[in-house]
Amino acid sequence: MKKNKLETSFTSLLELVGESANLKHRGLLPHADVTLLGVNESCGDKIILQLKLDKDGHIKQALFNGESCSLSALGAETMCALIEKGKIPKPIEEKVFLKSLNFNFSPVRKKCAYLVWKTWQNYVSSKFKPAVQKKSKK
Amino acid sequence: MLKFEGMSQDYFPILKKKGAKGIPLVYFDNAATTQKPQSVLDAMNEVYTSFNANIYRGNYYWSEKTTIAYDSARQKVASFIGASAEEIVFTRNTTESINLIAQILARDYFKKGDEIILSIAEHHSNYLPWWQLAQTHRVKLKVIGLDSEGYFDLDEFRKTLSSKTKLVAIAGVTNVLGTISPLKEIINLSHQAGSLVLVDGAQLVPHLSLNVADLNCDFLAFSGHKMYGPTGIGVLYAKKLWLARTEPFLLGGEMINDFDGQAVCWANLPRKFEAGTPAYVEAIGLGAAIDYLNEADFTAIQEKEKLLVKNTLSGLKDIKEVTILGPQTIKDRCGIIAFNLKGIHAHDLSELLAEKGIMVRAGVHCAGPLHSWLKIPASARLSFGAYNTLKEVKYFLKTLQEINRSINYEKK
Repeated sequence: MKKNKLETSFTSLLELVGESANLKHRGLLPHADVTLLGVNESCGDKIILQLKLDKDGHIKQALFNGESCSLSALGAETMCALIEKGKIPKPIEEKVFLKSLNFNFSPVRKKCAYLVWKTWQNYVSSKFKPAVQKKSKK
Repeated sequence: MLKFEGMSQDYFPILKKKGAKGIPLVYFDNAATTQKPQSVLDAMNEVYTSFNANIYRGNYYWSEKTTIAYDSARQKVASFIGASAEEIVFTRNTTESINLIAQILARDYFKKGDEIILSIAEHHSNYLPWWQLAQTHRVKLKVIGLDSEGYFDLDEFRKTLSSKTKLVAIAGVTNVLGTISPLKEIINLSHQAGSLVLVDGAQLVPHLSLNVADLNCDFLAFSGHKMYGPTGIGVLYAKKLWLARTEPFLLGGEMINDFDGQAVCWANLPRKFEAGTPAYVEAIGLGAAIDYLNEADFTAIQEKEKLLVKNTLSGLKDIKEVTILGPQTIKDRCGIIAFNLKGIHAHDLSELLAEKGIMVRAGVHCAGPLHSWLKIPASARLSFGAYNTLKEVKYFLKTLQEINRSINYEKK
């Protein structure tokens, strides 16, 4: 039987909740080279993003852990996959993130979905400033 | 026999709305804000469409009529809590009322080494102003925990209270657990120790009858929008003697009797604390909300809320995957219930409930210290109002059982 839109949303959220405990990138990374904390004050979410780097500063592995809702976890899972794929720490375009997330969420839950994306953007924008670095080369 | 007619949803236009696909909407987030009865909307609309003019300023009919309505609203608020009109200062909300007192006490009262006592269950509005004051004035903040059942720990309070205590700031009803604080005991003990007492009444005044003269608190803060009134209007009650000898905090229009550039004579109470044009239309709306509460029978509303809490607690206890925060019975608690369901974050749960038309809040409910103390990241919270029904409670419990089955049984 074809489900109505309301049921689809209810069902897809239920499925997400079921899947969120077993996401591929959920876990602790011992001896991480980079540890970032994303906090969503209003809903109490705290997600830790950890990176292991190789000797050239490339991302070997990214994992996340912490307390969060399923949508924050999906956002974290998506970001781990994207930054591992990119290897070099750099900003991830919003449209690339949303395409990879592939989940319809209500506007009030944007802050959940974007938690780790924003944490990452803040990190790379403060850590890596290519223009300044180029100028400083002697 | 209780009469619930005054609490009919027919009085509240918004409650006639349906959700997507015509599903019924159930509003269980009344601790955040309540819906407004038609009479409140009409009262505010009447001001704007019939006689709106700034108060205390114009010698013409409209201004006079608005001023009378504003003063009448103040009198209604005063009568509702057993105060005199001179003791009622209109503010924006509970938060502003508490911050106003905090700023005045920081300016005139606290000195290094003094102590403030509050409870771990306080809303940020009754925590952060004192936390910051402690940082800036070298005042010590002492935080009282909860007893094994989740109530305010009166024994710990007795041990903590001392001659150094200069203020006890406490919620009359806590905004997450819904517990009723033993205010009489707290206030008597505090006064014996020489301390002032501020009661955060945001969740107390809309749900329980109180008389400040009898309670003997020094300050009481509450919001209009949590008691069927509009947003943007709050109340600070303070004892007349205290207000009379305290210098105003906000300075400006209409809070003086005379000012010639050399000397100033402040306006009579309480206007010396209401600088600038106040939210007079909202105050008139709050007056109408109090009329509604009185006409609907405030005692009957309280009885109805107890019935809703009793049935909800009973239904939640039937779901073994549910953890109810704080007391498990209706003893000394109001119409607020916070809980968690195993296997799902409160935020996800609230969205699933919302998909079925049930509106509850999820998160830390502006009570971060309490959630840290309870060692939980978040919780879901139901809070009842006059218009909620047992039918709605049954629908909520049925929906929660359905979600529980999906999360904790079918997905295994």
